[in-house]
Amino acid sequence: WPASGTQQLRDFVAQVQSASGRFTQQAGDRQGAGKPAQTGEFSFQRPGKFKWDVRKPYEQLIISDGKRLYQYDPDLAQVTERNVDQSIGASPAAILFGSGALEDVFELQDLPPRDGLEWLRAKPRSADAGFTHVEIGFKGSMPQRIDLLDSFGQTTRISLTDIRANPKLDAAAFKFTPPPGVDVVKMQ
Amino acid sequence: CATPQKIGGSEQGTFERTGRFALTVNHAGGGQEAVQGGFAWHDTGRVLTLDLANPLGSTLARVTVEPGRATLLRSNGEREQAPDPDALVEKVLGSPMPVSGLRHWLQGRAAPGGVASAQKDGAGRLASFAQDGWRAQLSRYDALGPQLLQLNRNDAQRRISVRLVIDDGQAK
Repeated sequence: WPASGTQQLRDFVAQVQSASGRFTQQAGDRQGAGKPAQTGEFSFQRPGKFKWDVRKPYEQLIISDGKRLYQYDPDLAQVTERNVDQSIGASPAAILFGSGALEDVFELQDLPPRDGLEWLRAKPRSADAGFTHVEIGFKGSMPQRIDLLDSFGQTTRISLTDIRANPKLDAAAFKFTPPPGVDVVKMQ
Repeated sequence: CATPQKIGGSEQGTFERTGRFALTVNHAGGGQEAVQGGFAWHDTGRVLTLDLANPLGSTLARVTVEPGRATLLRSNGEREQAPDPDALVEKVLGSPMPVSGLRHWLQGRAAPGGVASAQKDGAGRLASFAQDGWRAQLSRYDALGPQLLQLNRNDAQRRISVRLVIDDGQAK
């Protein structure tokens, strides 16, 4: 009998110190009609280092070295740099890539299995987390699906594939150097 | 980032766009602020609905503009109203965005009223102009309008840059 979603999350946080893989991300309203999906690559290393690299249909990079979080969008020709805590806090990234006690920031609840996965729902304890809840589907103590419901009824569905647990990530994996000539805005 | 999904509804003459924005404010005192995110723009001509989302795709706020009234609804449920939407957006993003002007600029035309130093591109489309205190540069046109808009405003206390990139859109 597969372990519950919350148990698999605990196993994941305990056993997987770093990972890399690919993602597909699709925003859509309740009926699921959405835009072309974004695809890209992700990687993370606890505590707090992660990379969310959208490749298609446009490029956009979100990367954190554990202290500072960088966002770079070549089309927008801008890099923003801010402290990690301001932004990660109660975001979905915190659930997967953080290492703090999740129960402090989220109310965790097991859901019935669906799509062959064991699910949990994480509801942020603070009202202004910017989303209503996030549901994560696990298999083999690895997250496979993340469904984020925002406060306007929009659901962002993320699928994680080709996940490698505890790969050897080189030291520069989470280092970001802004490309020359791009406007870098440093926030406190 | 996941830009919010196009908002439904198919009234005649509806103009819809989704894309990404980068907003940068340089304060006279030297401080700098910036925010990036996605947006979904749905304008029936009478009512405009603008969703602002963070890069991970969750909608942060919705600004609805009806004749004579603009309403801001935040993700935590707080609601605010004002006669004009630009100030409301400033409350969410920390800098004004020329929402009223954009209802025309996004369709490749200046808003009614005073416009200065308008220039057209080789294909006769509006390429740059100044209006309501903003300098606008429109480019990467598709059938619906520009897909890249660079907007700048220099007030006494701050210089503001708004850069909009369009990813998707339709007019029905």
